[in-house]
Amino acid sequence: MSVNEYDAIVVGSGISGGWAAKELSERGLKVLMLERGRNIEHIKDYKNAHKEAWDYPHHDVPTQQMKLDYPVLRRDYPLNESTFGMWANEKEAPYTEDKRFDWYRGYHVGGRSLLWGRQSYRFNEQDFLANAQEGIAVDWPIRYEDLAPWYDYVERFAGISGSREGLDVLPDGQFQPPIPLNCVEKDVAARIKKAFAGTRHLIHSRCANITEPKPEQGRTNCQYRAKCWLGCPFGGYFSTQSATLPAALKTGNLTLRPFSVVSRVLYDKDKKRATGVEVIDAQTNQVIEYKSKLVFLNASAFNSTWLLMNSATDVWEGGLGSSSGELGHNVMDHHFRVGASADVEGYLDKYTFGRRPAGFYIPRYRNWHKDKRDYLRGFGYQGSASRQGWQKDIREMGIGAELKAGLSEPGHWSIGMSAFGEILPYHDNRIYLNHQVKDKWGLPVLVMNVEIKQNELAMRKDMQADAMEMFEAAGLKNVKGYDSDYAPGMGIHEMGTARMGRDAKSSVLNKHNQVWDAPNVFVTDGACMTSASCVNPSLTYMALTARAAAFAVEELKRGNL
Amino acid sequence: MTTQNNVILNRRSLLKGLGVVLGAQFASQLVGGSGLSVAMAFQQDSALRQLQLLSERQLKTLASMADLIIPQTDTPGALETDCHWFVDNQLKHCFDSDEQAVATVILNKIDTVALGQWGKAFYQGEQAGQLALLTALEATEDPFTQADTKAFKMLKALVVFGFFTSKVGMTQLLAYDPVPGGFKGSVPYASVGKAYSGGYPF
Ligand SMILES: Cc1cc2nc3c(=O)[nH]c(=O)nc-3n(C[C@H](O)[C@H](O)[C@H](O)COP(=O)(O)OP(=O)(O)OC[C@H]3O[C@@H](n4cnc5c(N)ncnc54)[C@H](O)[C@@H]3O)c2cc1C
Ligand code: SF4
Repeated sequence: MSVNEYDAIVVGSGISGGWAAKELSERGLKVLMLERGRNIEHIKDYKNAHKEAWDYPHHDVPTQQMKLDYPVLRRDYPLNESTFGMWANEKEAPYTEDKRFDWYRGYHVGGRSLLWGRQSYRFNEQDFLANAQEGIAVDWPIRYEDLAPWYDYVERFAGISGSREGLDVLPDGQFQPPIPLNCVEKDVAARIKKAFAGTRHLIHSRCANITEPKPEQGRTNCQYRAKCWLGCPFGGYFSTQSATLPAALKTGNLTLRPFSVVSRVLYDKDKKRATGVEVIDAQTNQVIEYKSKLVFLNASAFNSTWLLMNSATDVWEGGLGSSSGELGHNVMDHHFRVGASADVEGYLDKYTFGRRPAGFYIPRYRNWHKDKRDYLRGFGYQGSASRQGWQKDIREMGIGAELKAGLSEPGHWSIGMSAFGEILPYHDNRIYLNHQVKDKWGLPVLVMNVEIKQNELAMRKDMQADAMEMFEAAGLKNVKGYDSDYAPGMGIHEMGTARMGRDAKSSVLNKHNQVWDAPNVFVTDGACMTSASCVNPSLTYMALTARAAAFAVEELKRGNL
Repeated sequence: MTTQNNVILNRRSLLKGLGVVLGAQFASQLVGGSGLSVAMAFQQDSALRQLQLLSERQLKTLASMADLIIPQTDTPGALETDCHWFVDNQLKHCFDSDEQAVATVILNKIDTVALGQWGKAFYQGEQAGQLALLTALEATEDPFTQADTKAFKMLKALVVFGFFTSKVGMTQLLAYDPVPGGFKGSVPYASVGKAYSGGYPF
């Protein structure tokens, strides 16, 4: 093999790319992982992991200049001093909006695996059946049983903490002990259970923070600092850096190349196979070709789709995978920012110890079993209870020694939760290329054209009303519902733009995540999703990636690729 | 169990856990952290005592206000953390021009009212007089308007924010524990005795 030749190329080093690199290299393939951004080395490069608010010039508040430079990021919480530099540069890599779309991207080794919220839930059986039963979009080409062993596999390695609940709506997995609920949450859980006769459950969240050490991976259990997105020096949560990358490197089969913007998949139209990829060196602008037998696209849903659109355009004007007419369509996310908060009386002699990186979860119960609503699908809640800190009622407390003493004591307990709802795959929710606007490397950028529709809007009413109803039923005070509006993308769970399906006419990928028109190209990030469920999706990307990688290696051995 | 015991206990179990994986020396480096020394350097940095948005006179007014809002008691107050310098810097870099104008206008007005009442600048006044003036301002009493009260509350919130996110505020006024090492969903409040600092507590 020449220096530019590998068995497999993995594009992107985030959650899914890390898994692809690990699985392919552990199965003996020589793998090249290409990442457009800079390298971030585990522990060594987590430069803010030990800082406190006072270490930042503006105590972690974004400056006006930062807001000017990051017009998208500033729309929500991600813009701050502590994670600054961990988000895609919006000037170098812009996109345009027919309709507002908030795209929160991490362009560096590890991708958003360093920044993610780590909530990790399995899809359930019904999630894979609903499209077909309801006549929505297309049927998934796989069922829960196809993925279940792969969920087991990735959960064991990643380390997911959670409790076994025996609920069909939220299948149990291979869990480490859960992160505990606090005293208020436990009581509220009991009251909700009673009030709703066991149909609604407030349970431990399931998350990729480990509660037991994983010495074989050099990872210590979570130390409860709640600074995960600065990078964890303990390896307390799953990221590419803490888990999949070291495993892949250990095989001696992986080469990681940062600053490598993959611009095209190279395609041989006679053989109907990809032959490799074209890369633009992000620093030198040099164009380089790398050859391989397999190509895994894990650049995150929209970037993998962009890459397909930019490839094989001499054969298909719309790019590789566009023959179905579905490439770039069916954008989904989870809609949220709606729920309720309430005050909790009592418990003033109680406090918590440690800062949890996750709170509680209430799995979906709408349109489940006998429940029927005037919309399809459902939602789950994420929330927590806590005592107010020094931020409480600053404006009301006067000035002087009393204010100072008052703010130094915790306030009363309060509780809040936000619902995450499923968005249906609508064909006209789409992204496409804008050839008028180019990024720093002269490449066309994406246009976003996505909105939520009647089904989601109807669901949002329940998402707010139900939260209030549960808090009322639990006897809480000052219950307040809220809907602070949602713009597509804010869920940071964008997906669906190169969906899996049962035939090449209505989908981009087959049941093994192979591009119908180029079976040695696998897309295993969020682009492949046929529907969204209402649970956070990354665990499912992990399982799909591991499954596809195992299949790809078998197929390669069988000489089919 | 006192907080201190709590912390020490957990620190020990943390070190044990870490030692298994990373070797004890590395672990103690982590716990010691470089954050602390960086912080010390920051707070004593005289480069931060450069006027940004405010005039010298406005800064003096703000300093007197900060001293009244969070005075020194058995713990340090806002002045000792250079909170007024922090607020000036924050106003300059994190606020838009409208908000900046709100801040400077109210600082000027406070000073003008003081001059009218006492024939002295606000910062030169007696503490009792200053306190009375700010109390009137917070309660929207004559000659202050609703807008003035709102402007004052913005400054007050900034002082409080600056103070409780300063090293002194976070470590002396509040319960500070960079690496708790574990989580307990219910401990007696008396074992902590104050609100926790910082973090993004869930
Ligand atoms: C704040 C936050 C909270 C979140 N919380 C959760 C949660 O609780 N649960 C959950 O399931 N999900 C959560 N997510 C979403 C989760 O991070 C993503 O679903 C996940 O990271 C997607 O994995 P990926 O591999 O597809 O993409 P990413 O992790 O985004 O990685 C993609 C990588 O590809 C690289 N790349 C892109 N284009 C190219 C190119 N042309 N050439 C080379 N490299 C390229 C990027 O630089 C990046 O490193 C959250 C995300 C954020 C930001
Ligand atoms: S909360 Fe746990 S996982 Fe997150 S940074 Fe802290 S120790 Fe690491």
